[in-house]
Formats: sequence, structure tokens, C-alpha cells
Amino acid sequence: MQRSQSLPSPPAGWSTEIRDHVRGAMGGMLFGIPLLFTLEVWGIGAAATPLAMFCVVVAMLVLAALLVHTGGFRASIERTLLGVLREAIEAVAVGVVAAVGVLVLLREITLASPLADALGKVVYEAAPFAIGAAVACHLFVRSRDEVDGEMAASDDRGSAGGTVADMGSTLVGALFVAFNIAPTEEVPRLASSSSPPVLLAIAAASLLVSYAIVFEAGFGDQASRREQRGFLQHPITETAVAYLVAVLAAAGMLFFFGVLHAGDPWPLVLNHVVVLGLPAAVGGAAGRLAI
Amino acid sequence: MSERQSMSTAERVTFTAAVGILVILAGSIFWLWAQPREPAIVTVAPSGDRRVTDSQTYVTARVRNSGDDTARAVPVRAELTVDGEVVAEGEQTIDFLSGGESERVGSSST
Repeated sequence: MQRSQSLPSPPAGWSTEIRDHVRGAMGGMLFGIPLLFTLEVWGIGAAATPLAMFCVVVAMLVLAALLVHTGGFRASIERTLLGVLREAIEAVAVGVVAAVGVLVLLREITLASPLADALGKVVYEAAPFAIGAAVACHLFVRSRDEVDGEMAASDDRGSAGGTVADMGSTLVGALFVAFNIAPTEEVPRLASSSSPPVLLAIAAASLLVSYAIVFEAGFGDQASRREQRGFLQHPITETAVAYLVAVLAAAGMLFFFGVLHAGDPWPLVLNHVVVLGLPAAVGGAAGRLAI
Repeated sequence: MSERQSMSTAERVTFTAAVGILVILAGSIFWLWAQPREPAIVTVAPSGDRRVTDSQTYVTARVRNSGDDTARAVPVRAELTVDGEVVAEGEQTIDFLSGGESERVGSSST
């Protein structure tokens, strides 16, 4: 995604506005998901004093403003200081909303959570999300040579070979992101506190985020991906199959690290695999854009 | 970056929502700041869910921090006493227990 550089642009309508914010949120997901599965960050957030929280919020705003100046998540932006500040505030707000959403989904914040605990976790987890949102336009930028090369190879990508390549990229991306998370104690902890409705919500969120990163956020060469006509390359089917690949990769990683063992009861396996499937699906989506 | 014309309705709405979110966040932080804070006060109480299956005894307890500060690395120790003699013991450590938070811990012994 590259920002418009030359002609004056008209004010954004609702569709542009929604697409820009989806891009920001997905940039936050790509940057923030690994940190969301870090128990120490939850602890640091829960133990933070109000002064520390306030300092983190101010630092987030300053950092977001610096990053928005060259990156940002909007397709176009005002060149003025006010324009940069406006987008920085929105990037931090997108980060806060995304962090709240995932923390609630993972049951790290519930209605029973004390305010200080919830607020600290949100503030500290929102920081990587805000940074990701503030650089979203710089994620998966393709040079003109790369785009030309892809257009020349588009015939190949529309074939069954393209589907295999996409699934291979999904596998590599899932391994890249989730391999660091699989052996940690966060996965069993989150899995043990996840009821069936929560697992369904996590699976649905994984599919939604994966779809939004590849087909809605405007990263990479989204238009050509939508036009692919290969076997299982319709956006919906590709997302579903890619999630299946990510979940299988998550299972493989959990067995590899001995978190799960042959003979474990299937509900235990399902809990763990669905929880790790979230970062694996995000990594898989990034893999399809990057490789 | 290119020059922009004035903000559209959609842009105004999203910017207002973003400012609202940050105001709520900052307001909550300042509200917490203004509250008097007590140090961590940790108490443990058996939750009454003791059960015996085959040769194992399961005991659960609820650990509560009724203070405001977070308690770190809270050890919880359980002992199984039969006829005045300790026949089994177990220990768990809670990494973080926030102010006002309670957590359920369990121990089993054969």
C-alpha cells in the first residue's frame, strides 16, 4: 500500500474511511499479535501504576505521530501538522480497540476484571497495535518491478500450482509467527480457560482477521489476489483452506514442542490448536502477502 | 502525502470516535490516579470443592487480593493431614494477582 503523493485528494467517504481503518487494525494485528500472547506483558500491564499508564499513552501518541509522518494507515493524508496528529490519534484509538477486542476474546479481560488490571493490560497491549496501525501503509509494499513480475506470472498463479503456492506461503507464515508462541505457557493457560463458545469466537475471529488482512486491508497486490481464478482461490474458500492449513501447522508445532502428546483427549487438543490457530492464521495471511 | 480538502462526515465521525476513546482511556487513568491505594492484602480460603476419587484427594482454594496494588509471585501451599500427620503437600505460585482480583487454585495428592 502506498500513499497518494501528488494530486489533491477529495475528503474520504464511508467506504474509504472503513477500508483505511480496517488497514490500520490489520497492521496492528500483524505487529501486535505475538506480544498479545506474552504473559509477562499482561503482568506488567496489570501491575502498572496510573502514572506509568499515562506515560505509555503519551509515548504511544508521540511515537504514532512520528510513524504516521512517513507511514500511517490512510491512503492519503493532509501534509499539515494537524493532519498528522489526527491520524496519530486515530492510530492509537484503533490500537486500543483492537487490543480490547483480542483481550476480551482471550478472556484476559472479563466483566470480573478489576479496572486497574484491565486498563493496564489494554494500555500496554495497545502499544504494539498502535505502532502496527501507524505503519500499516508500509507493510507489504511492492515495488513496481515486483508488481510487473507478478502480473507476468498471474497466469501461473491462477492455476492449481498457485493454490499450492498460496498454501505453502500460509504454512511458512504460520510457522514464522506461531513457532515462537507454541512452546510458551500462554497457550495452555489460555486454552484451559476457553469454553466452547469462546473457542468458536476465536475461530471466527481468526477467519475474519485472515480474510481482512489478505482481501480487505489493501496490503500488497490485493486487486490481483481477488482476480485469481485458481482451484480454491476464491476469497472465501482460500480463507477457509488457509485457516485449515494454519490450524494443522499449529497442531504440528504443539506436538513438536511436547505441549500436546499422542493420546491426549481430543477436547484438550482442540482447545490448544484453536488458541494457537489465531496467531498462526495471522501469520499465514501475512505469508500469502509476503511470499 | 498529498494535500487534502476539508474533512468529510465520515472522517469527522471516525475522528470524534477516536478522540472519545482516548478521552475515556485518559479519564479512567486519572480516576484511578485519584483513588487512595492500599498495598496488596492477600488471603486464602478453601472453596469447599474438596473431592476424593480413587486414591486421590482434590482440594481447591480461592486466593484473593483485597488491596489495590498487584501482588507478584504469591505462593499457595496446601497440606493433607491424616490423624494429625502430614501425608502430602503441594505448592502453587500465582505470578500476578491484581488488586481486587481473586483466583482459584487447586492441588491434588495421592
